[in-house]
Amino acid sequence: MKCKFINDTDTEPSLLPESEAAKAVARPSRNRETGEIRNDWYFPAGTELDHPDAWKMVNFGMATASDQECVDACQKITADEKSRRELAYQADAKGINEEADRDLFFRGVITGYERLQNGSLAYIPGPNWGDHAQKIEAEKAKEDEEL
Amino acid sequence: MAKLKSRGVIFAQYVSAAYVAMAAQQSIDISGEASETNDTTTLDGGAYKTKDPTGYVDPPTIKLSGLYDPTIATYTNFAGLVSTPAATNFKITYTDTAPTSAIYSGVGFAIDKKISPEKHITADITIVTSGAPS
Repeated sequence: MKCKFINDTDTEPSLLPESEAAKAVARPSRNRETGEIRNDWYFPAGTELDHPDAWKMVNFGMATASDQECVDACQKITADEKSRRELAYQADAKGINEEADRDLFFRGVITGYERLQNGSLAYIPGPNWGDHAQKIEAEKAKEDEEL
Repeated sequence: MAKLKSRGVIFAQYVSAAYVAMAAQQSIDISGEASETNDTTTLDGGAYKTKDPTGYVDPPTIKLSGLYDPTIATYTNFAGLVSTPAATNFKITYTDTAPTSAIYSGVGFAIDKKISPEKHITADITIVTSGAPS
């Protein structure tokens, strides 16, 4: 049974059959205990997973079915519900949990957070960032005028 | 020293072949990880009692608190573990640039739901871990 991951998805090669483990890619991560940089593993977006539980990944909204067996095993939901679930999972996977930020994400204003060297986060602008920025500028200008 | 934001921390449960993000969490508490000590005070010793390390370490217990939605993956996955427990990996990824991450092996699972008229429905998840985090 096969599915394709929509986004980069963390995995654990040691828990996978050899054929699937070979699809995982390493990226550096810091060990919280020793501070050493070690490898974390993930499936890059678009990776096709062949696994008896591939349908679960589709139901969670993190993958799309890529063979008929998987399509048949998945929950039967409307296209709208599917899109909603996939978008919600993307927000979850990017750690976007705050209500206001989730709203910005769903409206295409931001696509996630960028981790900055000083430990703070910055928004990664999305396709509708311009409109949002203009609106904020306009509100600020109005406030300044009123003062 | 960087001041890391809690916002953006990702906590995920390993399901079948991948880490699945656990959504809508409002707090994550990882505590109880401590080296074990043993009282080694002797009757002929000084006034101050003595303690020594046994060489063992208690692994932490993880507690999550968040908004409850029985339809989302966070809870459907976890409910399965409560009824049919099996050692399962959980991964936390912090918000530093590296980023720092840790993987815990969960062996005991509990979920408590809270329903009251003036609040949203919430759930508290408890994960008892075993062995050294990696």
